[in-house]
Amino acid sequence: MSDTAERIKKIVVEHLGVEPDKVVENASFLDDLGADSLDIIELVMAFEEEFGVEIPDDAVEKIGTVKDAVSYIDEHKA
Amino acid sequence: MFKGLHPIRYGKREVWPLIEGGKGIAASDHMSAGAWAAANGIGTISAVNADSYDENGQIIPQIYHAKTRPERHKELVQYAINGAVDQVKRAYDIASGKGAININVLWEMGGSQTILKEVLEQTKGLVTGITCGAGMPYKLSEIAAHYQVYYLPIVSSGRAFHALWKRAYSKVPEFLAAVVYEDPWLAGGHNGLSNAEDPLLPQHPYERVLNLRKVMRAAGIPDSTPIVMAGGVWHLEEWNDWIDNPELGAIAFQFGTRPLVTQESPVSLAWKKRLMQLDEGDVLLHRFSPTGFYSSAVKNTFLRNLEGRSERQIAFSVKETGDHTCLLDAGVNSRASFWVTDSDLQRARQWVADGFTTALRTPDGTLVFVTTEEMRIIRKDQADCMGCLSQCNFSSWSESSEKGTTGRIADPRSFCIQKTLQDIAHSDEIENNLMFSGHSGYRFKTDPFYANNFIPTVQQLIDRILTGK
Repeated sequence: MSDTAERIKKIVVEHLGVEPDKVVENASFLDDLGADSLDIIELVMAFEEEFGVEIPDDAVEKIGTVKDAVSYIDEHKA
Repeated sequence: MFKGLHPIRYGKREVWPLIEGGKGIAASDHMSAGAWAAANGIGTISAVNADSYDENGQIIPQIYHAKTRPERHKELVQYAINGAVDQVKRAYDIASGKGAININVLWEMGGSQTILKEVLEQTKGLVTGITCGAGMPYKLSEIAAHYQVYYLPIVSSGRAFHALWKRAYSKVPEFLAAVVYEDPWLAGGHNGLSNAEDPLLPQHPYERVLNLRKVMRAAGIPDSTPIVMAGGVWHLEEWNDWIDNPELGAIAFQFGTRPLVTQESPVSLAWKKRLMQLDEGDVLLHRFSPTGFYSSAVKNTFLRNLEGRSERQIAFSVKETGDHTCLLDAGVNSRASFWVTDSDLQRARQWVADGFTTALRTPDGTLVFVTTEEMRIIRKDQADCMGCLSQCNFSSWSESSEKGTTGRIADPRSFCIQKTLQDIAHSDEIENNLMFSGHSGYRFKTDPFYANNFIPTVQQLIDRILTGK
């Protein structure tokens, strides 16, 4: 698992209170990890803070899985 | 003794801090909102697929002609724009320069941003503010600022407001007129319960509103910016401790259910009478809405049928595994293999014997048993989908997907919300349609104001509310 993925996983585990082994690449925040729309926004803001990356609204709508988040961060972080 | 209310400054006028709760579809419209404003309150038009009118003043039925969902979705957006514009113009005329007119949108309705922008473009100077909830409307502030109108986000926790503020609203503080706290256990319509709240364990609104105020203070929002208490508000004398309370800051009140029983309320007389007969507990907080949100409605035949359908539900596996050792032979055709427990097999056989002869798959790896007629209606409604939500659990429509689908199995435990809300808004059929109501609706029956089936005008209702009753 990449450094980005590890850090994202840590945030997701802490925020959603899920077991670490459930935070796999293809896990959907809504369907598999039990997040709601409020959780998603809070997670996005936590990712922005952690990586110093701005995630615009249009991009938020496309981040459905852990993998989507990792890919977005890897593509846009400095 | 009731403390009484002081008028507040909203827009360019002094108004009572009394807001009509927006109710779609067509349950708060130009008649109710115009009258509410004319009585120096803040009237609210629901811009959720509102009615528009032909040259003779007749409501134009929202009939869809296109063959595909994306094309029907475009028809729906146009109907919604035309309807809301018509409603705003008519309400503004009725208000005659008094009070204020707000519009309310469900953030997760299909085409919400397009509709909101176009309506505001075509009604410049007529709308004072936008109330908006059901989802996380973080683009609301940007739209409001562009059209120079106020925004009044509807939230159900300080936590939700914190996220919205940090993400978006802090960039446009000057147009934030108020924050609506909608009690997620008591309000009617869609409820903002997040995963952090237990639907069976209601929390007292005082602590939650105080928490919201603390979040607002931490954000630098002055105490003069009202928090609008919504959900469970009936007699204002019961809220004496909230009024002029420096701990809470400025407080306004929103009424959703009481305005339904007024002369100007557009809902049918049958609907009004039914509300006046409710007993405590007749309003159900449930999760059948295709939005995926909790919502509250009268427990009528429509909701009982949905409850029954979800009770006739069994889990299955496509291969024999664990305690799924019995091949289902009831309600399914012989080509499909559904392995279920022995007890569920017996239940399924009984349901089929009782007339629920068809098993339909759900997105959660279960089957529900319905009658042939129910199956026909479910399939037709799913096929007729016009994309009225950003995402629909019932039809699997998704506005943001290129293919127009969530990719999940359409959920037969839910229903077509557009069809049922249009039907109840335009007919007397109140038993077999979704009938939204707040949880205090039972108070109509015991409130002496409504004795002998008295249905007040909006002015009479506001006069009454101002006495604390």
